[in-house]
Amino acid sequence: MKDFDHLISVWQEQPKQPRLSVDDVLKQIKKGIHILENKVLWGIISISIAIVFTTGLTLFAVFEQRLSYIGLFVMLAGMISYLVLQIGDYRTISRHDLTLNPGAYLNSLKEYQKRRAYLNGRFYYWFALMLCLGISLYTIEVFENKPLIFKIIYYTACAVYILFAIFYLKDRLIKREEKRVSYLIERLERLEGQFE
Amino acid sequence: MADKDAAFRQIFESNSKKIYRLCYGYTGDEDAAHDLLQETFVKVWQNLDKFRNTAMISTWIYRIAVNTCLTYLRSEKRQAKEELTPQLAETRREEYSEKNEQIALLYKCIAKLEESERIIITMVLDELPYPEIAEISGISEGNLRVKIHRIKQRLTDLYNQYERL
Repeated sequence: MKDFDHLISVWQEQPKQPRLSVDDVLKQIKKGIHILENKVLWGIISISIAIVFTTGLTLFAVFEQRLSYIGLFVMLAGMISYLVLQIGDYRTISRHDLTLNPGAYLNSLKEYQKRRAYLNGRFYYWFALMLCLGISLYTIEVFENKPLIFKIIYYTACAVYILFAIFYLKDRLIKREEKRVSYLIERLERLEGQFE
Repeated sequence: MADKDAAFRQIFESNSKKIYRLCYGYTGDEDAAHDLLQETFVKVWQNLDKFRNTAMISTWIYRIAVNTCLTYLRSEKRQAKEELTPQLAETRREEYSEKNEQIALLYKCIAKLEESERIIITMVLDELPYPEIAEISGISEGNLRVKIHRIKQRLTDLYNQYERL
């Protein structure tokens, strides 16, 4: 017949040690914080490269028809608007450090979620429309001497890709990001509640 | 940031073992206990700046751990595993000894207790002062003494009952 003191001695003599080291925990804390930031940053870099290329084409290539320039300007307008929104998103998400100020980071995250909903929602259709229009106007002159079959294949491929991006790729990428942001918000809100 | 890292390291070294036992006693699952230990210390890091009273840091960490454990069970609707021995026996056959058998039995008995009782008893077993346990569990000291007496009795009975089998 054992008494409670025996249970205390069993408990306290247990050799069971956590496998987790302090370095593992610190690594975990610092990992994942910059995932969202990096994603937006890569978006900014990619669109900036496209803008530089299109600007170079507008400035240095010689076109006979005004429609080609209009097409390039339409594409540039769409891409610059996209860049401005992405920069705004980046500034929102990187304003606060999650590890130093989780409360402020949570508010930034909620603002970021709203901004992304706009960027990936209504704005995305405008962006796709502007790109389609720009490409169509630009290629009128560029493809002037190309055979009809080439034009048909090119425009069909463009249309298929844009439809694929809007109805499949966009949804998949956005859902993954939304899931990540919602998960972060949920965890931070739970955490906030514990320290009130 | 370097100061915060150093402070965190010290806090982790002095508290992780007890918090791990609390999580393990609560979930009865080694992997879940590690996850909860990690989650607790991520929260500790994130809120370290808010904490001012260094004398009571262990109480504060316990409270975080208890909340983390409760949230784990409630949000995931998980039940604590009743059988701890098979896991211990299967994965650590080489470590199997009388002492381990007693520990496994003790965890098995803890798993039979109510959710709140499990948390309280792990703190009692770690010999935390009653006022601290009262603060962490949010129960008045008077009620806690009665409760602890009952839980001790129940755990001892369970232990003796299982040991005889």
